Amino acid sequence: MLLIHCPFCGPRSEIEFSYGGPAAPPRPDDPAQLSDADWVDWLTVPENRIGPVPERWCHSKGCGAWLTIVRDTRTHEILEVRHGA
Amino acid sequence: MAYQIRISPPQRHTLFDLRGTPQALAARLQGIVPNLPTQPCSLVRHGQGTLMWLGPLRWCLMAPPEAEAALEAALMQGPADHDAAITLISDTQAFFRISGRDAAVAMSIACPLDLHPTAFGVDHVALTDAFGVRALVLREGDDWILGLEPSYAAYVEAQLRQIV
Amino acid sequence: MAPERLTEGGRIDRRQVLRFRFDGREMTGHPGDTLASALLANGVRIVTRSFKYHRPRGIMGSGAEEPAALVALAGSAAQGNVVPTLLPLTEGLDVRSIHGWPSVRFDLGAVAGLVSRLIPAGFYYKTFMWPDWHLFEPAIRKAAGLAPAPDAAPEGRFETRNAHFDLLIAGAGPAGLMAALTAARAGARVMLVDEGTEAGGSLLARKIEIDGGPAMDWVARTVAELARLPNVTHLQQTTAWGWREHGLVMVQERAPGHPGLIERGWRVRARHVICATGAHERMLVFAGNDRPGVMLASAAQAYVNRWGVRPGQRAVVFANNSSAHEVARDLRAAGVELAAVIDSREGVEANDLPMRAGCQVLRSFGRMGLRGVEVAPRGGGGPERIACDLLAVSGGWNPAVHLHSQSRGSLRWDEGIAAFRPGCVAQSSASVGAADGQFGVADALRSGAQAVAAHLGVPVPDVPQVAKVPPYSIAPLWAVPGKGKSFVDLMNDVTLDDITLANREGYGAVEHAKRYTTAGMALDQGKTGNVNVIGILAGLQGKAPDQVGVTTFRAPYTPVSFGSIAGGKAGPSVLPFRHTPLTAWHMAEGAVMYEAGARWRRPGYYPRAGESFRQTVDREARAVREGVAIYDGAPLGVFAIEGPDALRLIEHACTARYGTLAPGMGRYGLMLTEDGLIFDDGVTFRLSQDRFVMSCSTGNAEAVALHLEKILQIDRPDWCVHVTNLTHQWMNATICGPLARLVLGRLTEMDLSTEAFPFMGLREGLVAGVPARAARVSFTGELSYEINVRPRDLPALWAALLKAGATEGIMPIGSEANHVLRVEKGFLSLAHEADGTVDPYDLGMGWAMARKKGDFIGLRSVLLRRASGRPRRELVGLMPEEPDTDTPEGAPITPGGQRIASEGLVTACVHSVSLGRRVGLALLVDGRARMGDVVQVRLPERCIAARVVAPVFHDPDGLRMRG
Repeated sequence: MLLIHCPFCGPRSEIEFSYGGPAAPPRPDDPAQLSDADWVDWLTVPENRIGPVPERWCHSKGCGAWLTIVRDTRTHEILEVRHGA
Repeated sequence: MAYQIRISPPQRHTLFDLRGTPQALAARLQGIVPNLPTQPCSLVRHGQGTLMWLGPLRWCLMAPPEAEAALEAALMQGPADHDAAITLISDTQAFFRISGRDAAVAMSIACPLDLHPTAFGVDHVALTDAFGVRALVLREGDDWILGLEPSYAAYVEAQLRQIV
Repeated sequence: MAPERLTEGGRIDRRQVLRFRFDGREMTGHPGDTLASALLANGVRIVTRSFKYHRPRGIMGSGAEEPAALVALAGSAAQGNVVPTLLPLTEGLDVRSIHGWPSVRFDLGAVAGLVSRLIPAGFYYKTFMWPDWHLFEPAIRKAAGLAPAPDAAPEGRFETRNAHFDLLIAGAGPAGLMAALTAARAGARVMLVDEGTEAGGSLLARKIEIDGGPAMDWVARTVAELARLPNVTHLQQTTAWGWREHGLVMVQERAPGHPGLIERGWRVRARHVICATGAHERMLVFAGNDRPGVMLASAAQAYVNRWGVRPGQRAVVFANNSSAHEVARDLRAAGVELAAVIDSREGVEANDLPMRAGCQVLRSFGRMGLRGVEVAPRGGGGPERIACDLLAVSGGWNPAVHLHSQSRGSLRWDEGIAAFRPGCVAQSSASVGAADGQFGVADALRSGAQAVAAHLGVPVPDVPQVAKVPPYSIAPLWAVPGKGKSFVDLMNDVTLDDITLANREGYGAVEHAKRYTTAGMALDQGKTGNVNVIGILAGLQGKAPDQVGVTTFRAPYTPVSFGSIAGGKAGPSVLPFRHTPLTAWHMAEGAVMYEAGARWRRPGYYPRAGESFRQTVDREARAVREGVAIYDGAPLGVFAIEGPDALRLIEHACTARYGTLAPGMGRYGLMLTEDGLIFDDGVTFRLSQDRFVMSCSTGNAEAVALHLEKILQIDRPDWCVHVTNLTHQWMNATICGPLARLVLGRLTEMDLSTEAFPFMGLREGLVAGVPARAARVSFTGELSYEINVRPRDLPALWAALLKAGATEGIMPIGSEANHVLRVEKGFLSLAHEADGTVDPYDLGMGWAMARKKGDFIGLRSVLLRRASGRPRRELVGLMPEEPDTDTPEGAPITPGGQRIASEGLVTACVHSVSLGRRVGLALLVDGRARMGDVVQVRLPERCIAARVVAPVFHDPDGLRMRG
């Protein structure tokens, strides 16, 4: 169980957080302008690297902040936590 | 040796959810609470009211049940301002008071926080998890206050009484 | 006194007698005994039969490493598969051997031993493949296997605590105690845990002197000092059994000494962990190394020194290292005749011992227990038989690196001690003493002090003086070749031949060999055997042991009860129900309660005396169609959405158009996920220009709140919107039916006329004297008012509604009747029709897709999917040709009723009170183009013909709910 350093609340147990999936690039402003292939790529092909990956977590049982966390998938080391995207 | 823990039945307090920037809220709270807490996850007490800073743009004002009508009138009087939203949420939390020599034991069974006095002082407040339910935790003297969704109150009370 | 008990010595209290039973035989022991030491004291040589071959087995270890003996407990402390070396003896224990039938001494299953050539490595994989291993498992358990789980729950309860410490020290031997003392004196918050009944570790079993006196005197002084310090939590019979991410260590406390508490689990967040977990002695691999009477040398030493038990009359010691020499002397001092000390190393000398250097034990013999061994020089030469009933074996020592490894720390092979030692750490920690391969007591004390001092940045304290002991030396001996079974894993009956076979068949990689042979997969996790397997594989492959590598060390280190993990979360509290303020009323009224999503508990129906299920549901549904009824809508999700960008958020998240809404009016919409699937549905009302109230389905409020906040905090931080979850501030009772207006009018001064309060309107006012928001939405298809009040007022409102409608026969209805009513109207139920494949168009809800407003979440994906032009499953109504025949929910519809791939499925089927027959809803390929067709619902034994109709069976124009 991870220990996540919430920028507002401090170090808290993973039990207080909800996982929000890998951090996708920003949502296109007007998806209608994208080709089908580009849209599918944005929607369904997140990077799945070995090593540091950016993820979204919500401190749902705590302050409610949505966080972006950079977590090393090999070691669980959390290299960065920031509020928002 | 058996634990010495007392658990009060769940109670409703007056609660207001406050959203917005510190500046906007300070303006709306003028004359009601003199100053906002300056540290995240901390509280200030003023008279019978307790103002807690619970999230980056989220605050909570707690007061005794009988203060609800007067406080609501006072808070809703302020100018409608998009930088702040004030909502009555008294019914969204049921509060247990946990006291006695081993109250801290009950809290360590309930929630994952480090509640050692060096880590969680008297003016601390936290939103956390208790028995799997989102919970508000604060201290009053040697007592602990645990607030959570009333729909789970019966379950949480049973879990607390089982410890004793 | 028990026959093999020494008259003096040991850490047992001979003045007090504890009675216990083993397979019905009365036996005695003393406080301080483990079950294992008490059994040995009573002369019990055979305690179990082995897993695969049913060979008799005795006690071979003295602690967590025990590789052979398992017993079951009966009575109030019933428990299967107990390790007797870890269980303190208590009065009245009722102990049973496990595998033997009818008894361990005469076991019919031992016949399996005669056909053992038929059970080679990989046997389970090769044999029990089709169709499912689990079909074979019960039979295997019965024939060979393990103890059954006890029938009843244990008496008492469990608890789990969360705890936070600066240092967690695992192991209270010399290194751990010194580490704890250093940390405690420095003022750190310290937890010291140790699996044994008392602190001391290896010192408990050895005759070592510290500071000029018995080592245990130093232990006692240290424990006493720790007990005085308020910053120390010291627990015995407590095991740190698993180390997870970020300093989380799972701890099991087996003797909490608290009334009614069986065990306590601890989830410890430690800033730093000291692994002072000691070392495990290895077995030696030779033919018949499992015979009762063969024992680890350290165990034999512990039985004589710590427990005052003589494990045999005449002993042979067999070792490849120096540690067994001390054991030989201690055995002799305890009155055991020392026949020979067989040391596989050439040229080893010890004038005081009957040494045979450069020799090895070829095999043991004896039918029901050890009678002697066959010994020969390693270089060759005639074997010689030596009679003995105890063979003390030492294959060297493995640092107990389990905890370090679980934290993902690395290991390195140390040729000097022929073992794996901790390498790099992965989390803040240090290994000290024998756990770090520093086997001397002086080294252990020093390393414990140094590790803590370095971590805390305090000076290294003086450590006590230890009387000199010869240094440890070893020359590996991985296996003695010979005829007969040589075991590398006793608990799973894995032999040297199995490892050889696995290697020959291509499963020589260490992780493959483990799975192919099951070596190291039993309760003991191969503590005495795994490194032997590695050494053997290395020999077969011509590699060094570190090139072979180790298998993963997994939690738990020793067997752990589920109770110590689950704590108070047992029975119904595992998935607790949520109650509305009306739940108690419903139950008192005799309602049959259902779970309505997210653990909310709501009434399914309210049976009256003499009614069948169908009669109850029909009565409730008819009340709505013809009269008036109420239902508890409390768990409906409600959000306040305010701010200058509130409208943008709602139109971005929902499919419908809201900018055109007048204040006081609402609109139904769907919420889609970005991949175009239906996530939620509900009505959103506009209170004023920038203030909205959104409702979502029961049980989905938390998910919707997360979704909306993610949009605001991640995607659109520039939008100014405040979302407040009011699910628990506003709860509704809904009154519905053609007489609803009449009844409600008696409780409020609000103008309820259609002109003043139209369909989809929302009005605020007093109802039954309490502040309320009434909304004219309908999930039943009838005139309906959803009356939202503060939860504290809900019971009073409910009572007032029942009273006001008494003359009209108002009644409460449950979710069954609601289901009938919504199916008659073809209204969407997320749990039934939105199965994760359908989009709004499939459900005939294209009208809810306000494409003119521009982009919103999910639109792009819906359009993309539909652009493919592939046929879609579409929502249709079904009328079974036989009007009273049920088409079960989930039943497939197949072309012509053939047993081929389905073309759709039934999503709901109810008895319609409007039509007096069964009607259903279905998702059917190209359904809307097939109105009037007859399709076949395929049940296992027959087909049901049903006509495809429009998915609405009642008031198709919606005049009744709008009226």
